[in-house]
Amino acid sequence: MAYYSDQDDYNDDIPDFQDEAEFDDYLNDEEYDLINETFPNLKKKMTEENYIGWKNLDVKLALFDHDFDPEAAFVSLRKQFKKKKKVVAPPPAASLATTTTKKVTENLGKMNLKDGNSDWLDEDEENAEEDARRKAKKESEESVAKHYKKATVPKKPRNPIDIAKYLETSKPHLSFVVLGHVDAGKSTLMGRLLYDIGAVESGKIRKLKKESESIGKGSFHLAWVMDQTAEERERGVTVSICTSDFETEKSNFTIVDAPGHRDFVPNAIAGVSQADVAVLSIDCGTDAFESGFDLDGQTKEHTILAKSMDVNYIIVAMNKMDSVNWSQDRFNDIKNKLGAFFKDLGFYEDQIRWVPLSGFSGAGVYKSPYPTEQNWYNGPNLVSTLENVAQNVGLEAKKDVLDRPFLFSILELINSKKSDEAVVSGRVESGSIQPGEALTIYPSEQSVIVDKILSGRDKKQAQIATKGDFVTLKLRQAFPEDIRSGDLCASVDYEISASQTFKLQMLTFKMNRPLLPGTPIMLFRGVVEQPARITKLVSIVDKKDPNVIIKSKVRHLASNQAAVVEIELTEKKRQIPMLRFDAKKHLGRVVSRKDGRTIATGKVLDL
Amino acid sequence: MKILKLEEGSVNKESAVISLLPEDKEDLFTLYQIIDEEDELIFKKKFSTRKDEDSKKTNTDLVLLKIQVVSSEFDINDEFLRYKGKTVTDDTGRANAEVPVGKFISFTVNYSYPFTVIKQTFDKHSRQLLNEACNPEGKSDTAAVALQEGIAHVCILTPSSTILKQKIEYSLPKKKRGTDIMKYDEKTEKFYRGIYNAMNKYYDFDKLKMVILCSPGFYAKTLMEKVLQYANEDRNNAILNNRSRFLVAHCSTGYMQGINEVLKDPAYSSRLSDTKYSKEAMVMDDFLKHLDDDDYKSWYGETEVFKASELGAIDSLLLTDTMLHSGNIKERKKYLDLMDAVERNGGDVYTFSTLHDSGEELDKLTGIACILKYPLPDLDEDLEDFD
Ligand SMILES: Nc1nc2c(ncn2[C@@H]2O[C@H](COP(=O)(O)OP(=O)(O)OP(=O)(O)O)[C@@H](O)[C@H]2O)c(=O)[nH]1
Ligand SMILES: [Mg+2]
Repeated sequence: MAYYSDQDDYNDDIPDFQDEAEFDDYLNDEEYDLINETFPNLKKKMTEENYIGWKNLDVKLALFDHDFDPEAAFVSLRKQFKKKKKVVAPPPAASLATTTTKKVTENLGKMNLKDGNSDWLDEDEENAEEDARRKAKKESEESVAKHYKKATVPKKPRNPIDIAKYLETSKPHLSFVVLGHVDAGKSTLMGRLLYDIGAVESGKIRKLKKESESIGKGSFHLAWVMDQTAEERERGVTVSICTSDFETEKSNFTIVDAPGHRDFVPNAIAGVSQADVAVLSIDCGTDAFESGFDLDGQTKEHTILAKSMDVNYIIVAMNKMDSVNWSQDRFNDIKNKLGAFFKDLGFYEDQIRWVPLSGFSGAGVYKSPYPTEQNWYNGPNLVSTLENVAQNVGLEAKKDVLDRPFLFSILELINSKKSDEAVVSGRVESGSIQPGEALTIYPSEQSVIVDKILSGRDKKQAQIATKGDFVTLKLRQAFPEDIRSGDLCASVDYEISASQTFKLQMLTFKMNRPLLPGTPIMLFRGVVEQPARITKLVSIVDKKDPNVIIKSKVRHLASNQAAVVEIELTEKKRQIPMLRFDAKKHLGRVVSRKDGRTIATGKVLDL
Repeated sequence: MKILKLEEGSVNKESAVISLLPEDKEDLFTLYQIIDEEDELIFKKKFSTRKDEDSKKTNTDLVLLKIQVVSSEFDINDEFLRYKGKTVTDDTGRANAEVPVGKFISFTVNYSYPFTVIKQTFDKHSRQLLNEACNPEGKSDTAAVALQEGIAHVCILTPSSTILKQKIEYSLPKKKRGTDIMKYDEKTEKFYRGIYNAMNKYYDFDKLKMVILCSPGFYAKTLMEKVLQYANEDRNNAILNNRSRFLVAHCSTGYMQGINEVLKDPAYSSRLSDTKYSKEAMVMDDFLKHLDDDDYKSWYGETEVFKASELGAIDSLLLTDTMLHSGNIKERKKYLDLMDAVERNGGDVYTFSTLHDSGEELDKLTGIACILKYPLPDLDEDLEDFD
């Protein structure tokens, strides 16, 4: 087929588009993908070559008219638009090598010294141009997110519903993160749970079993429900968090399966930031608990993370009990050791639940009964335990809905085919939202309209989302290119700050190097990760009462100290949106790591 | 750097007149460190002049000028070094022939024309820097890519600086549905491709000392495999012939801090041992270790360090190049004397470039620190009154 079609009737088919969005809507999926592959580069080229007067739509139409061939499209665009007048760069110095000095000095005298008042001999173009070039480069390198139109007046929901009434009847929602040392059986347990509850069909499990056996990883087939990438499956290791929704008669749940491997602790942090409570999976096998529990094991690191990120409830899944023949002694032995550690961290006994189970066989998880060897535990199974906890957490959450600002953290930006639409999934941190209402996204400060709310496993449309819910929002009038995971949304009448520098109240853990002014660290807030640097050690404070200053000339910060410090993000590109800890605990909490260890937690005091 | 002529003691006892031609960005950095305010430069500069008032034709000519340096501007990323200064009389009469004295003029250092530096005090430190710059060995760069899921930093480590050439960022879809996994694989492939392309764009494999690929997990190893695969497909001999220069290493993050982890990791020190930046990273880490051990062997801050030096107790002196380039000749002399004293007492001196991570760290830490031969618990005793 020819590249150019001159047939008139063909051209008549294309309507006149008012704007980019209309054009995008007109395209079919395949065309849309092609446009998106070719458009950014061509747009860049047009910009870089200083063409002026064109709009995105012109570039897209050109691509469309030339069968998505960027070269051909560019040729036609070149004819349509003019270039900005450009100053011609001076010839390179080398080519001037032959000119003589003598003659010039005459000219110099004539030319530059006429203005005897100037102290500058050479306010010449060369300098100005070089400076302009360098300045432009700097700016493009350091450009901070653009700011958009920001609304301040709230919008009414399309079909307002009575929030108080809704809360009375709605099921509680609980999100929990599954933590624990590598290979403790977390993913297997979650695969088992989803399967037994009926959220995953048996056909799928059969298929996974066959596939996993074919590469000699049969024992991982349940874990493969969560571990979906080729890397994860081949290596038998979870890398990134996997969230999944399920529902029981009494509650709605969101699972966050976290990786246990030490290299992927940053992903586990992202997981913890999304959870109300934690399920800590312990491999009760011989020596297995011990190796996960030693100093560098992740059982401790994960628990410390959970505690310092305000997860105040832990359900210990005493996993793989089948491998020790459901021994009560083993159970108690581990429980004692772990219990002491929890206590040291400041957990109370009623914040901890212990459930013996086997993710592999399913005993103790949902409805599968325990084998006869287990005749010493009569408590609730894992799902019942979760339901009980959900009840409490749900009641608490409901207090945080009415008359509270709507706050939402974006976990993922999902591709949308429409140019002014952003589809984001995330968690409601406080308040509630309904379709038709407006919200502002930070740090880009763009105000958008909520078009649809999708929730649950099958992404059903919902009329409202309240604190604690995990939902997907379809937003209109958005600029998705400036939205990232980790961004925060708020009701339009609520202000969120974003900053490059801020003050923290920091609590250090066991470190093997001290922190000094200048020390580089990795900083985590929710799912955002950014390199940062300590700029100032302000004071060392009392761990129990941070208002008591112990020392105000601080030379360095050692393990297990509380201090006030100032931090600066290393990359200038993008600020982290956050709230002060006293405004919203969960969004004013950071964790820092260095050289692969979690070294401190911090509360944002000021930004 | 090419030295065309070096004449010492002609202006005064400590002075030197050096004609030289810089050849790369490292040389620019050396010059930036050596040339102080009040030193003089003789150079050629081109001027465009119109022949007469109404003719459109312009002539561009070279003029020989001499200035005394007032200020400088340096950016290693842009390979940019410019001096501003005032014209001064040239006794030889060759320069500034038609130019009055006391006019401001600027000079952007280039690689095409040699120029002359007249240094009032050509000290040991400057001499050493100049010598190093003239020695091509040990000047070669190391490439480093730090990566993690969806993020890569493609960098070059020169003896004096860590330069981020390109940051590659792909937001990978979170796993949930089967279709996402296909997109995931596609994007991952694009991600590795992107790194490979950046490496080809910015790395001159034949000239590099080494290429470090580092990451948490298996990303660096996968990158290595992908790079070789792509290189095979493209018959990219620059890479295929230099396979042995690649080092796959482990670190905890794909941000640039990961590179520093590798530099100070003893597991890789045998392969990195002769590089200035890994030495810097290790000395810095040693300093921190003593601080953590609370054995009173590590101190920072000017007062503490000078006091320790008076006692002849310094084993390693750590200071940043900015301390030696403070513009103030008296200040500079103070630090040069300190360096001499430490060396006389059997200690080592490490000058950190602030364009490297550890140098930047040291810079924020007052710019000067030391590790002692023996503990001195009360070194800051008279200073404690701050508390
Ligand atoms: N005997 C026994 N083995 C189990 C049980 N649960 C899991 N395993 C085995 O433990 C291994 C690791 O299981 P995973 O579910 O991948 O462990 P994980 O905690 O998700 O691992 P990471 O995500 O990589 O930290 C697999 O070989 C499983 O078959 C159990 O209840 N009993
Ligand atoms: Mg797993």
